[in-house]
Amino acid sequence: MADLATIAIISFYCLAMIGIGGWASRKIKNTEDYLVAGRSLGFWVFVLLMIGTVCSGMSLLGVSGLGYKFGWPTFWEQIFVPLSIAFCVIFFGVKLHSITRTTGYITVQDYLAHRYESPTALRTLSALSGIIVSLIYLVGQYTAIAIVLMWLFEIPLWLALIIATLVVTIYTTIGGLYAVAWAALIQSLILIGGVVIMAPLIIFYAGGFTHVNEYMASVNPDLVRPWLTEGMLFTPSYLVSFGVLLIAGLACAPHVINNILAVKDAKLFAWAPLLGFLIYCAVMFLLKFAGFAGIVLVHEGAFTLPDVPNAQDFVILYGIQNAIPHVALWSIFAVIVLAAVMSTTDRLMLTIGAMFSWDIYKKLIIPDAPDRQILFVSKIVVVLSALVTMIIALNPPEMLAFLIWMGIGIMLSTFAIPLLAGLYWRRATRMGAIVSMASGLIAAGVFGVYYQYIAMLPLHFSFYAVVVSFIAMVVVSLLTEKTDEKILDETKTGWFIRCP
Amino acid sequence: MLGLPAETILTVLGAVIFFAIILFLWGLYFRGVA
Repeated sequence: MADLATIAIISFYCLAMIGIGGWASRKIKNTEDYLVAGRSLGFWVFVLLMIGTVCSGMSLLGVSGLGYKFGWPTFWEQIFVPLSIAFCVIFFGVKLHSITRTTGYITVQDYLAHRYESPTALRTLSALSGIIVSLIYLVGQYTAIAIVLMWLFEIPLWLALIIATLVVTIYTTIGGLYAVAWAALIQSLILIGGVVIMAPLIIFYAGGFTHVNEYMASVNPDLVRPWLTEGMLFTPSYLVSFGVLLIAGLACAPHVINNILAVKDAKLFAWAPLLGFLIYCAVMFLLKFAGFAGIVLVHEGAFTLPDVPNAQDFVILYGIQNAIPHVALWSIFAVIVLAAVMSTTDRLMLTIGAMFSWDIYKKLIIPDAPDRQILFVSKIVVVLSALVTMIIALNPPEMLAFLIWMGIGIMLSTFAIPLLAGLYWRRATRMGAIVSMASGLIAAGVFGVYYQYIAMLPLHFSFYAVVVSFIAMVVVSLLTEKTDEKILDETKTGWFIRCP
Repeated sequence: MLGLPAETILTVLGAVIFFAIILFLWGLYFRGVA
């Protein structure tokens, strides 16, 4: 399928990313430069880094796929996911950034260890669960890269994975967060520009926006309703739990929240939530509409989806292939998907590197390790995380989609309550946080497996786990001794967002 | 309009505009205090 122009476009993109890594590597002098970009991120780099981090390759393919399968009742996803950026900035970011100016946190685990006076137990528990969740998420990202490269070049999976892993690993390892942030700037611009051009072409090819909606209504009136009234999915009660999962779950994900620590000036928190919301909303709605157009195109026989369990995820690829019948233009779309995937993948790898090198190696194993050693360990872990996930992605587990949902659910169940209670409730204690985090983790596993293999639940499974985590935090905190007032003042704990 | 029930159009536009206004107000508030 690939011609010379395709190979040239993809190669140029990959070399540009590696070039950014090389440029960024000259700015790295110490661990702080590597892991939080010397706390130098300005407005647009931060906004586009947040969009790039939240918008993954699986979401790019999955948003259209979900729209194709369920229609308009899934539009809430386009509201909730962009809102996660705003939620992260407003409810976590403003206060964490303010505390970081005096404490110099490198990871969010630094905050948890400080606030809950738990340099070992809570730091280890949160770092390990963060690493596991990030690894699960990474497998999904590499699988998405492989799907696109295999589709475009008709190359075997192993070769597609090696190419993708090599490019991301090189620029992330040598350039740290400087490279990740500046690559995200380019990647997000490619993503936004690409989707704004390509999605309307698919919609026009399917007969236009109005025709697509009329067609969907004639196939099944439920496809054009804002929610469903029957069944278990996308009912109003399900949407509430879905909203909590996406807004709070993504907001407290370690690879998203750690971006806050790299911001240069708190003033940018004023308009970053609105701009992040509007830009990402527009991109995601266009992707969803492309999925709706896929319903018309498949029903009218323009193309047939492959006979695989996640066939709906291919709808945008096949839509592009039919609406824009030129292979060189498909390669531009491939670059868009690669940009979306890589902008999440690199951040996840760097987060795993930070959590291991800083929270486990430096804080637990060798406390007096010199800065250069931590930097070296961080780079090694970035490479290892890429290799491990690449090997898993070679034989992607059948329940991949389930694992990704489980990953976001675990992030929500383990991190949301300890973080929110730590920032806003002075009565939250160390034992409360440990029990809350552990019970949230276990409950997410139990309810997740029940939901997947035994019986559907009226709410998203992670919602039950958050309730368990919340009850554990309140009960155990009230039964245990209050945290030292000095620590509470240092960590600016209280019912306010703006720090006095 | 646009081949959609009025209920769907109102819900979608309402949700986007509602949250955009909330975040705009946040921007005004935070700009004033930052």
